[in-house]
Formats: sequence, structure tokens, C-alpha cells
Amino acid sequence: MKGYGSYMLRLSFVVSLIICTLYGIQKIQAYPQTPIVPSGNDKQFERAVLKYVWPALDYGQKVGRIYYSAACQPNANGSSFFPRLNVQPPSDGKIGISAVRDIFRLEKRVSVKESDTGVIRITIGLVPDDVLRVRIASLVLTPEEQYNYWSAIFKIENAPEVQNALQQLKISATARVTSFGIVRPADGLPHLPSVFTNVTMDQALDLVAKTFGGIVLYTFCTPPDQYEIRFANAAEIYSTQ
Amino acid sequence: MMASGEIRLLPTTMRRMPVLAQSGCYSLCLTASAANNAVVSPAIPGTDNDPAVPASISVIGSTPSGQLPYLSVYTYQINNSSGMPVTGSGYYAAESVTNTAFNTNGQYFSAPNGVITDYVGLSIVTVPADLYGQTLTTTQTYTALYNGYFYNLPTVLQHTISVSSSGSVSISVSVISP
Repeated sequence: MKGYGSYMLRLSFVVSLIICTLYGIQKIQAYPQTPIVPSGNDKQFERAVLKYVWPALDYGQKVGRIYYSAACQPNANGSSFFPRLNVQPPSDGKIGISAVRDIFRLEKRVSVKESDTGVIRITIGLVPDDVLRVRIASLVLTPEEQYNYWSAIFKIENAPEVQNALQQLKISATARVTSFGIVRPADGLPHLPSVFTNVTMDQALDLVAKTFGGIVLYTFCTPPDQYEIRFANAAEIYSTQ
Repeated sequence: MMASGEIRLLPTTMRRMPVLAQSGCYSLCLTASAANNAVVSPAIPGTDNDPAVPASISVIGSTPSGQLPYLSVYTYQINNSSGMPVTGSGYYAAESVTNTAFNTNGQYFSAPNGVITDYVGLSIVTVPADLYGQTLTTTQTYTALYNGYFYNLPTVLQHTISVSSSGSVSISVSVISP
């Protein structure tokens, strides 16, 4: 029996090694193998960067936020101009904040920090965040808003405190053409709490990113002073549209 | 004979059905592009006349979203090859929409009784002056998933968002093909 036990131990070790090796290869291959071409349009360029960040965030298992400032794009179908960045694949085996820092190691404009709550924040350039610091006293979400990230984001953006601050700061949300499907509330599906209490807009968006396993992006663009919030998950990042 | 637009689900990780029931897309997300790249299957006996098989989409109604002033909730119906609504559970649908900044492209949502809910419009509270007089159009198609098979539905929907010179907004969705 001792010999059999030893054999099984060795076998399990070999199997584990194979699995770990395959897993490692899969992770390495998950990063883009070709450099980003700066001539792509902004959407393509943003996605190219997100394809580096997404695996580093363990495919949505870690909470990620991206903040950047840009020139506004007068096109309701598009998004703001995305900064041209020199990004690199992270060193082998890295994941989380060390991997994200590795990705942007050649970029002086980018800061990467992890909050106490485990949110990895990537800030590109100087980003005015007055809107994000607005504190919301209480916000009641409908079931649909609890279960759908776009509905939740719109709800947060339209909290009375946020709208008042936007008027005072003379900042507006960018006008974007929208089409999104809706998941019906059901047991077992990811969802937000029914009430947000005493949270900043930024904290509320952290919760959206965490709950729905995606990256919430905040863009501040000028002129005029506008902001935009977007949600990126695997479907968005790897979309061909 | 195989139903029009029918695609066989490949025996890979794409088969992880629980992902489909979730609102977001996670590490093993099914995307429309993955569906489009799937290999067309051999004929599946009995599907041609199966009233449960998705074949097209029609627009069945719209209401204001109650969330944003220029956002409407549209409902679409998945129909079978006879043009009749499919019924029952087990239907999922993913949109593929062009020229939109905010969308849920490639994400499968449950469509009980073949009913799809889609929010269409503008993501704003007040219309900026630079949109006055503009008409914004997008096209939308759907891939349905039922009983383990993808169906690229041929119906093309057009969203039209018209902003008048005075800033009023009208939103419409119509079938433009077939």
C-alpha cells in the first residue's frame, strides 16, 4: 500500500505540474502578442489597451477602474479620444496590481494604485474628479437597476446630488447613442444592493464594477467640460463591432 | 435540411451554459463573434418545421424607459419560420448593433417566450445643441440561442433617433430586412 500511495503521490504531482504548465501557457498567450498600432481609431485603441489589462485583472475577478482625460469627440456614436499609450505585456506569471503596473511600466503618464477595498485604479494623465467625489446620501435601485449595469450606471449618474453638482460645476454627460439588453432579476444572478447609502459616485461605480465583473471607465473630456462613464467586460473588449 | 442561419454549438468551453444566464460577461463569456465564427453544423433532423426554432424577429412595442428622458424600452418577438411567436423558456438572444457607444453586443440575455427587451435612445438628460437637427441611425441584428444551437437571425432592425431643430427627440425602431 505504501508503494501504491507513493505512486499516486508522484502521479498527482506530475498531473498538477502539467495542469499548472498548461494554465501558465494559457495565461501567457492571453496577452496580445503584437504591439498596438497607433493608427487605429479610438475605440480600437482603447480595446487594444483593455486586452492587456483584462487578463491582468484575472478576467474580471479583480475589480478595475480606468480614469483618463481626453479631447471630446463630437460624435454621439463614438467615444472620447483615447490616449496613445505604450503598453507592454507583464512579466510571466504576474497578475493583479503588479501585472497592471508592468503593463504601463514605460508610461510616465499612468499611475496604478490599489485601494484598501482591492480596486485597482489606472489613471492616465490628470483627470478632474469633482463629479466622482460627489456624495450620494441614499439611492434606491429598482430590481432592474440592481441586475443591469447600464441601468445602474444611469441611475447613479442621475442621482439628485450628482445632477446638482453637474449644474454647479457646469459639466455635462456626453450624449451617446445607446442600445442595451436587459437581464430579468432572478436568483443566483449578480446584482447590486437595493439601496446605496452615503457613498460617493466613485464608490458606487466601484460596486458596479465589482458586482458585474467588468472595468468601469471614467473619461473627462474638454471642450466643453464633459464626462463619460462606460462599462467594459469580455464581450465589449473582444467585440468585433 | 438545416434551418436558415442555424449554427451548431461547438463542443468547447463555449458550451458552458450557466454563463448565458448572467447579465454580464465573465471570464468565459459567449460573444456574438464567437457564435458567428462557429462551424455550421450538418442538418439537424426535425428542425425545419419545428415551431420552437427561432427564424426571425418582429417589433412588438415600446414604452418610455422612465429612467432617462430620451431612452425607450423596445420589445421584440422571436418568431419561428412560419412567422409565429416562439413560446416557452430556454431562449437567449444577443444583439449586434453598430454605431452605438453604449451597448451590450455579444451578451446573451434570457428571452422567455422569445421576448427580447432592448433599451434604445440617448444616454442623456438634456440634449446638447450640437445634436439639434441630427438624425442618428444604427442597425441591429440578433443571434438567438435555443436548445444548444445558435441561430443568426436574418432580420435587420434600424434604430432612428431624430433630434429636431428645436431639440425634441423621437426614437423609432423598424424592421428593414427582410
